[in-house]
Amino acid sequence: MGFLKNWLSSKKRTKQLNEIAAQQNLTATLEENRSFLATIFKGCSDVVFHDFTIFGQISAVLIYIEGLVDKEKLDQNVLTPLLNKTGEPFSINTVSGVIPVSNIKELNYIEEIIDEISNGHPILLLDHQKKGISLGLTQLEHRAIEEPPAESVIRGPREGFTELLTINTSLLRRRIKSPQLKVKNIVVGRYTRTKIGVYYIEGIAEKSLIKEVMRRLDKIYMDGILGSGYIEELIEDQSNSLFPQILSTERPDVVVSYLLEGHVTILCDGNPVALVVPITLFSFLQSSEDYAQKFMIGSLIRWLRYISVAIVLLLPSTYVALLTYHQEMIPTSLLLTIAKSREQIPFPALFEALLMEITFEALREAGVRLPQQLGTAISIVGALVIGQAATAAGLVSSPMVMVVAITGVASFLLPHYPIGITLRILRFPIMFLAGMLGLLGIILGIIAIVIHLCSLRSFGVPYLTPIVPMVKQDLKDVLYRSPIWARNKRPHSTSKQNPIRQSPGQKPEAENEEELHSD
Amino acid sequence: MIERGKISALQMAMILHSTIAATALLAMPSVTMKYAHQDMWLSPIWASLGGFLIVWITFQLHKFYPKESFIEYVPRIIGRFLGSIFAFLYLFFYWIILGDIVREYGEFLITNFLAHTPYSVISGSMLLVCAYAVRGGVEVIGRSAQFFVPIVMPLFLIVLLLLIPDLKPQNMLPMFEHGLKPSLIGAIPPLSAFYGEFFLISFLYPYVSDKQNKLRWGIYSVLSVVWTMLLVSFSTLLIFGKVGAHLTYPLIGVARYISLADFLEHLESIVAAIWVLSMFIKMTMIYYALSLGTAQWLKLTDYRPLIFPIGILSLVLSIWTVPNLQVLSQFINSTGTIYFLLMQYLIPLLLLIVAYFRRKQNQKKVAEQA
Amino acid sequence: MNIRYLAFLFLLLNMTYLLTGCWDRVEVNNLAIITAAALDKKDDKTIELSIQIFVPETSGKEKQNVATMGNENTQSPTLVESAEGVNFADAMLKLQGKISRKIFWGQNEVFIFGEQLAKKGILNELNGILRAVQPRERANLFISKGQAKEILKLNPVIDRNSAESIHKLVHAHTGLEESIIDTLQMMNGESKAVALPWIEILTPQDGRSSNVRMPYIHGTAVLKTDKLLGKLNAEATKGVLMIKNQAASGTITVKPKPEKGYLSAEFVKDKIKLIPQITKNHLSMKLQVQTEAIVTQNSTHLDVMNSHDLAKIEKELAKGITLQIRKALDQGQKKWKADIFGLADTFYRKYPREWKKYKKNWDSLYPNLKIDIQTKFRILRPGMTTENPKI
Repeated sequence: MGFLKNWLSSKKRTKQLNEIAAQQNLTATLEENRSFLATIFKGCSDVVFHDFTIFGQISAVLIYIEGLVDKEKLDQNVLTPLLNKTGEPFSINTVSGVIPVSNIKELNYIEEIIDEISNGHPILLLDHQKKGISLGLTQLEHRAIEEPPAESVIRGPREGFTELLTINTSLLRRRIKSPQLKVKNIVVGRYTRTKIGVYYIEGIAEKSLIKEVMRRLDKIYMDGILGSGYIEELIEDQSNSLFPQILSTERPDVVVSYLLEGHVTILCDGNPVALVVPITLFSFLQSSEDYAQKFMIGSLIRWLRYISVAIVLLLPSTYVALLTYHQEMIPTSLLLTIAKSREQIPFPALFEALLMEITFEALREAGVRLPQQLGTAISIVGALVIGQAATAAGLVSSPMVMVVAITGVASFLLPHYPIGITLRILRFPIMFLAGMLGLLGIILGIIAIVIHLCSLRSFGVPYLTPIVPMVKQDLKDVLYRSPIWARNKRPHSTSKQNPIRQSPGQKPEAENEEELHSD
Repeated sequence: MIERGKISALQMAMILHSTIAATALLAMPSVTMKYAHQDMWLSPIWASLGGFLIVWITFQLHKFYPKESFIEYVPRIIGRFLGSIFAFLYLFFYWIILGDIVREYGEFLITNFLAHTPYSVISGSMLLVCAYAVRGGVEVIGRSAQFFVPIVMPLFLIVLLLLIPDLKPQNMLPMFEHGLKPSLIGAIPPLSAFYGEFFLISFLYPYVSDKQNKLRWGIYSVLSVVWTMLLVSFSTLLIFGKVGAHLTYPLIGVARYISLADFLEHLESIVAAIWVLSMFIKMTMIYYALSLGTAQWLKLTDYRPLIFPIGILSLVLSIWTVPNLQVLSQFINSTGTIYFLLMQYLIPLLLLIVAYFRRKQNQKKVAEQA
Repeated sequence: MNIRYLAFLFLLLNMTYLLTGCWDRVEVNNLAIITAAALDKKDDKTIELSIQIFVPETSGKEKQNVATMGNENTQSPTLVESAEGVNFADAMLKLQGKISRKIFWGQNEVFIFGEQLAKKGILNELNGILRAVQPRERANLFISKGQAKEILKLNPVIDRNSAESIHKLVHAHTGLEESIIDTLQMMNGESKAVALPWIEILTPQDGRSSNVRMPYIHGTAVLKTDKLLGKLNAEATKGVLMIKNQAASGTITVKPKPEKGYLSAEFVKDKIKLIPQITKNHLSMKLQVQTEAIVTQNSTHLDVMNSHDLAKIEKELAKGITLQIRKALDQGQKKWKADIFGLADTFYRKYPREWKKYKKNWDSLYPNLKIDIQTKFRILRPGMTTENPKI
């Protein structure tokens, strides 16, 4: 119901649908209503108009879309009681009284009816009635809940979101059983009429943030929303930035952890990817896995990830810069070895690096799109191309193969795909700069990236938050992975109003050790 | 107000630290060593008094006009006509400084690393990056300073730590061979050319959000500059001794000297890269002050349209002002000293006195009227 | 909008100018990597600069040769090329004209001056090296017996090239280690004398062909201002190393008086303090030596585990050390009259005011300077055996 109210209150939205049917009441004659709806659904062969007579007295029509409706239940719970009962005095209340269906709504407007039909709810229209009855007997075909392949973990829940918003909502509700978990629904897309859910925890999330999210979502007015990618691009702060400003995840446990820190989550019907806002750069370098390990191990893994960011971004360009500009920095014996291996290579180091990196990227992209069986074939070809053959053919020197391989391995360490692809793309301009100005070029590239990051915001939160501007209390989850018992406060950037997460002093201490050992 | 952004006092201190340290690291040791010889490490300490003085003067001025930058309140102190002329003189001053800095930057990289790369490419690329930061406003400058300074300082310290095996403490001896005089004379160039640049703080004060800490962090940043200069002075002195005075860039010499386990060697490119980071903050800060000041002087509503023209002009000026590095260092050591002292110490001090008496007069008037 | 587009296009066009760039880019394939350089006197006015260049291509082939047979005509992985010029910069330019690849000094850690050139003076060339951007301040300086070029031509069997051999020798601390900067500091200092390692060619003892000769550091060259006077022998060099605190390791062997055998000890720590003294217009010097060592060989009857004997051993060893240092000092003071130990600087540092008086007469004062050596020797550990097994 919530979404309907929302939708009705928005005049613009009302207009968009009612190009054919203006906001119009149902009339008292069934025939009129039926023919009106029939013209609207003209050419939709999957819409079924089932005419029958209730109690043998009143003619009625049941309208539904085939395939979206649980026909068995419709027959059992609706048609059977209505057709069999006879002789009773007729009223709309008696009708709804005899139908054993829980989700029943009475509708007054044509437009509502159209919407309900499109959503898979059968509509019962009666003669002499200005109201229609919507029956919640939808049955949507859907995928089972599976582990999201892109975000698999070793230790942690194996559940992932599916394409159905109702299931996704239930996944969240199962994890947060408090009524403070609020859901706001809106519908966007002139034709697709996609349902979008906005989730937050009241009392933790800032009101201004929720308002801003709703404002940006309300602004969307277009033919169709085909996925959360559309929404992401429509609501992010700076669309022409390479960096993702919204976190996307398929894992409900990740979403819950963000909700509990005062973030807002947006889910979109027909898409298993949830969007989390606001977000900082460092959220992309954290994985839910970090919290499944011991905090020291989690911290080490996190540092490894930071190093891998530097490697992905800078290693090939540093290699090019050292080799073509700063040969004196390479230890003598290593330089002599490299000189030997490069002796037969016809290309400049920059070109060599580009060649290899592009090949690598191509192989990687190919591997992602191909079915699994072919994927292994690609990896064999790749190993040959990148490794032996290129060196044997004298196209690439073997140190360069090492560089590309290390870069590749480092790029697999990044837990979120969007940030990985951003860094991989940024590597190329930096490589060009390195080829042009050496280390100076790399530094200029880094400066430009940092300036850009400093000017980025995600829903009002500066992108580099705990570091710049510095928020001391939030550093504990960025510089390292703080122990669970030490995380007494929520992140400052998202929940200023309600900062206390847990009571202090939860570090486990064996107080009754003696008792334990006494027997 | 043209600038809406706010920075923290810490960010202000970090901007200032890089602004002063960037060029001081490079040029200071050989200059002070020329006058103060083995007592050169004392000179930056003497000179720091100037830094404290400027921070204090500008803070007092700022207290009189809390929401305005220097360019805006000068006309209020000495009248609109004279004030505008003064403000223009300051803009001109910073224009020349920016030109000099750009030139110094370019010359340094060309001499040491990129001998055949055109000057315009080296300096132009840097100015372009700076312009990008200036476009973001004081907030972006503050944040990038806060991002880079915590990276630059530890790296710098690591480089110095790597040098410890090569230090020869006896190079410091004999101390005070000719009394304190040489070290005091040696303090003049850093006083005028380096600590004088603390005057840029007057462009930052109005945008600092935490009011109570402004002066404190200003003083902290002077202290951190003293500390940095001391480290550089010591490392140069203890490695090169008196030979340091003959080196154009002692810091690079120091970096070239690092050798650890035959593997960590020849790190001058890394040091230069670190230096470029702080140089970026310095150039951005002056560039920003110049753009914002010009917009305030012309009473524009936005300074962003000025960024590109000012950048081009500065690049051109950097080529015009001096034919070569020798003339530049001559300028800094002779005429420049007077120029810097006048613009950054004397005039602000006079302005403060005038503002103080004006304030008193006004109060009297108000009292009389009442 | 349109103007913006045009401006963008203009910028893009400018970018093409950048693409012609990479002005300073040098591929490793186009580098002639110098591993060592030598300077010799050609005639009165010109010098000869020789460089040893690493040759990457042949080293691959050579590998096979070495694998198949250890014969003598293996190709050298290095190439020695020389050119004459009036000074270092001039010769460098001419050298570049002879070589197809760009000469790269960045990895060169070895500069060798020939005996003849060193006699003429090396300061000019040192300044030339320092001013050039590429050569390193930290490169080590050496003086060679005869032509320095000959050292470069050597092809040691165990190392990649002779430069590497020399570099390793320096780290073994058998001779002094002096960088360009160190040398210039000494020249600019008060003592105006420099000691540099002296390189000779080691000829193989057994009947192997002369092709496998190796360079080795054998003694110390003594330079007054920047001119070579002569050399100290290997024995005296040990003392020089100690005085300059460069003896990181070393052994000393003494023959205790009533005993018949010898006693050797290896230092693990060797610290020396130079304490200048001026009393009543009289200059004197005190050397405090502190040495800690491990006994390595003992063929005497003294028992290392016996505290009484130990004291005696320590005393004997201390005597040996004193003698070694005295030898070096005597050679420097009496034979060459050059203050290669930097004693003048210690006076200047401790007595800056008084020093002005003595500065002029230092040359005459130095040879007769009274130097008192106090040695403390401590044996840390007896080595792996406590007592020699008796047969």
